[in-house]
Amino acid sequence: MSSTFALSVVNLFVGMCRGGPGVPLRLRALGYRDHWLDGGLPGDDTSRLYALLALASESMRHTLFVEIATGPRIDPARIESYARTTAVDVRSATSLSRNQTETWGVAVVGRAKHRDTLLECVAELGIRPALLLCDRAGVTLEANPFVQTALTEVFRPSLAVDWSAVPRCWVSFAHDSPSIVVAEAVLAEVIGRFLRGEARIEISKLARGHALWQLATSRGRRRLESRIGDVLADAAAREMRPWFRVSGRMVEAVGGTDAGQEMPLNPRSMWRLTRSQRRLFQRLGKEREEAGDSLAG
Amino acid sequence: MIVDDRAQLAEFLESRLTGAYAARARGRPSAGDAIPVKSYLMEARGSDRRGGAIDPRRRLARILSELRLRKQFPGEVHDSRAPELFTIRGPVRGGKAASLYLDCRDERFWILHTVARSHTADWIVGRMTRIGSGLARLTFPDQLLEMAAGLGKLRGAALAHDRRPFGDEPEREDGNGFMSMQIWGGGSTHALEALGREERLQSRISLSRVQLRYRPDSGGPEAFVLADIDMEGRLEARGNSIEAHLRLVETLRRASRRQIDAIELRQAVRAGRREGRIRGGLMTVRTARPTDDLHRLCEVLFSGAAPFRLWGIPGGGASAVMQVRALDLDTTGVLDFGIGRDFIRIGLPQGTSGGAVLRFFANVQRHMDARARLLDEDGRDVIDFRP
Repeated sequence: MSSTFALSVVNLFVGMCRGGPGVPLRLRALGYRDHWLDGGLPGDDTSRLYALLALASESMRHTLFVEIATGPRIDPARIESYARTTAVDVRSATSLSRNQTETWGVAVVGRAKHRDTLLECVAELGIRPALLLCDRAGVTLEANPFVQTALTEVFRPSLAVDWSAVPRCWVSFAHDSPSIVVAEAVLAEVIGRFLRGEARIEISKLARGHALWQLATSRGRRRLESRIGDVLADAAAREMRPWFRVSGRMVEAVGGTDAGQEMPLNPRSMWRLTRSQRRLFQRLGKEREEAGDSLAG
Repeated sequence: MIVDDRAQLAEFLESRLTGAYAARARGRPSAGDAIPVKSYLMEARGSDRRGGAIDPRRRLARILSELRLRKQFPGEVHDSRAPELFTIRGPVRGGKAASLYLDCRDERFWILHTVARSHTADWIVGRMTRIGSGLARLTFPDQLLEMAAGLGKLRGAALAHDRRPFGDEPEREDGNGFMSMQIWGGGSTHALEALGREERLQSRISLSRVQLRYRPDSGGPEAFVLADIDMEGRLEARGNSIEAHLRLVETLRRASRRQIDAIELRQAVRAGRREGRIRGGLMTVRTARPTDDLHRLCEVLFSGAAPFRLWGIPGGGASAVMQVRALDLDTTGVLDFGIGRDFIRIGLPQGTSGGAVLRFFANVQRHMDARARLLDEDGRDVIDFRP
């Protein structure tokens, strides 16, 4: 998983299986539920940083493995590894039931702007994964329809999605998310811990609070932790300097917070804190706009 | 008075409730001897370095060490024979001493009893539950006050609905402003039912306080307590049975705890490696009063100010749903919000108290729409105080 695009896709698919306002509910209506497969499937390469996302439905007797292509191409070896997998392998390696794994397929989810190259890649693959392409309007099934007609109909002619409405809280950031995404996810937690009287916070503690932590490989975890540290160090060196500093693997409160004492908070300090954070978010937001990675616009 | 155990505390509180204490001291009874007993329900949050519960004695010492509180109320903590029962006693503003009795039998949900004057007790409790103290008042949604009212005979109710924090919308007939009223006496139940039937008032009928006459199962036919229960988890009792009052307090503590535990168990978002699932689910507050100005709504909700006391900055840009990770200043936990025109989506990260959700929802009922519902992913009500 990488980039804001990948996060948006993961949160969309998880959200569609969970329900709630802001996301289409048709996958949930077909009985699909999100599952995370720790370490992927047997024969999978070991380069994964996070568990593999699968959508499984008892009533459709089907599991869909989701592979996200963040760039113009996909790694054919990774997709072809599914060809060596049997339903028995899937059941023995995961907690998915016999009903859920009676049939299974793979969907490659990419960006519409990479349509041509992704179509080429998919055409060359023996297992013929479905190709779902995302643009600002939604998700379209571009090639290789699903065996399940009802599932195909979800994405054809197109599934309208308001990307800005997709809940971000399932997976709030990943190791290479833009700084603004990481900052939005961790700063409130940092301030909350200061308020509780924790003058020094281990960065690993902040990482452990992330829902993805339990679903990350040890390499993924190290990268998550390191990313949080980098973003906080950057913030501490600039807009958030009056509030905290980063020293090694610790975030330390400054500005009147002594160990064991709660952070002094009054309307004036709250206003100053809000101003610092707003400036930080504005700068990081601008950086993301320049990178142009977001589907939400 | 410094108490040694719960039996002595109950005896002391009953003697103040009935006026027997003053009458004994003076040698004769007199009108006005009886003093109401006030009880506050609070939630203690946070853990020690090893993740265990913080020793209540240590936490209490820290809470009372705050400069402003210390200056006005230099209370000393006295242990009792029961390890979770403390007396806090000290002079108030250099004058007469006040005593507060803190029962931490439940290490997370504390109860504080006192016979001190209301404004003194409210001020001390307010300082004890200040931002960052790790202690927060429990907030009761309408459903809990209704449940409480059903435990005895309803004798009165206060209704308060205040939309002024959201500014003026003079062009709307059901716009902002406030409405409050009090109903006292035997016909309160019928009066409330009649008001509830009036469609134009339904979005504003939110309870802020109920008064009920409650009788314990034991203690004789004359034993009773007249209890005022307000939405901020405060009970004030008059009458002659401390047993009835303590039972009522305990019932409300248990009901709150059960609801908060249920929210955390079912809704908190966390990943379980073994089962390969992200557990928990989003909650949605559905309101029947759509909001046109999401930016304004977010400004009010996340400014850090009362009544919501949430602090956060929404992501930039025009969007149909504003997403904010906000800090709940009462519990210092974070909540994920998605604010739409006619819904508020709430994600509860692991480690944040379900009490923060309950408080937010109770505030929505009192300040946005009294008919609001808190629903889970399947559209079922999250709030359920039925035993």
